Amino acid sequence: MSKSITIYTTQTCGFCKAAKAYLQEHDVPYAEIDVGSDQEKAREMIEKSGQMGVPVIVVGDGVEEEIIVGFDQERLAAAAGIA
Amino acid sequence: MVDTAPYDVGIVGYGPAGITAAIYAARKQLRVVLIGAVPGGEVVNSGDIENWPGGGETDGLKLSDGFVRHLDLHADVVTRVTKTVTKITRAGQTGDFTLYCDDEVVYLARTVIYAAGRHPRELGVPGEVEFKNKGVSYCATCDAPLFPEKDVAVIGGGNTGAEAVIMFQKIARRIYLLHIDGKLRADPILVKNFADDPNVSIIFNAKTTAIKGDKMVNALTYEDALNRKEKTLSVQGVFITIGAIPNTEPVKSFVELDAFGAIAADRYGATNVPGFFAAGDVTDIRDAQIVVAAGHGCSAALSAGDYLSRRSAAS
Repeated sequence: MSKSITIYTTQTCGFCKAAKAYLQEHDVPYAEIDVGSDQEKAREMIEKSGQMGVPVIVVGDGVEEEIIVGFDQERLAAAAGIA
Repeated sequence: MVDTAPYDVGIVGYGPAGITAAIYAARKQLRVVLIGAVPGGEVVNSGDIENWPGGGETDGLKLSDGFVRHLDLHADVVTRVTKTVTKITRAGQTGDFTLYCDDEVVYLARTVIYAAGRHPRELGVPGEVEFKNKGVSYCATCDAPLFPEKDVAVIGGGNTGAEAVIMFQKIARRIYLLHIDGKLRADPILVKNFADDPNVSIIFNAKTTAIKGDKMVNALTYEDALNRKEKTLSVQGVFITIGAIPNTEPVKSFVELDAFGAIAADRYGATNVPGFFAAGDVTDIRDAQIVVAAGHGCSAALSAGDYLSRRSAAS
């Protein structure tokens, strides 16, 4: 079953951009949430990750969610199944 | 894994110095591997940029995009790797260099242009590490949008601090700019933006002593250096902009550094090690500016090209 990926970002964050570019490069679809313009979602991100830094990348399989703080390429590759 | 065919030039750093070096090396038809964690380097976190000739009023994302896209023109000779170099060794006094990446992939190169930039300096006060990303940040450009209508402190009155304040003027409620002595170092043209803003308080002679909070930051304490009194500010964000430290860890065992830990490099990018060149903010060059880093990267690439032709002529 394929995993769903959500990235919490701000418009100005370089590592968010790097993380998105990495997923695009590997043809991995993702949803993006701009927490700079959506306060409700910003709170949701802080609750999920326990911190305020972006990006926060949530990889879910419908049952469990893996939460990756920052652009940790190795963890993201493993979670998203990128070879 | 070792990528066995040695490259002519191994460039460490994906910022303006490294990218410019790659362009110049490519135009000499040298085989290049360019390694860095984030395409564009620190430029992507730079916010508004108004001093890149021809760029007018641009920003870090647009400018770095342009830098990275320019490399597409040289894809035939420039291999790009988005990783962090953790160690570099050299074989003997004039030998080739081995570049180790964080995932243990290894690249070999006849010359190195080291342009790994700097990382933000830490304050070293209680609470700083504990609350990192829980209100403590080193990058206003990245994290400021998460502090709408909050009260924030910016530590350090240099240009980076002033730019952080300017960014927060549109976002935060109350902004405190704490500076260690009696005069801001930031350019007057930047300070002009907030000097009369009633929401911005500039606090001089302020030595930050602790960052406090529960789950997230809720206060900062500082000592007034003039009367030694400790004061507390109620803030949800603390942005630390007190300078940067050169990223020399992978090379400091064999390259000469200056008193501040920067690589001693001349204007042509030459260091004390033959075949090992350095450029941009990681060096002791005076001005940490995108345009200066790019120029230094150019010179380093031309120096590396010269070095390679002299070496092949000699053998």
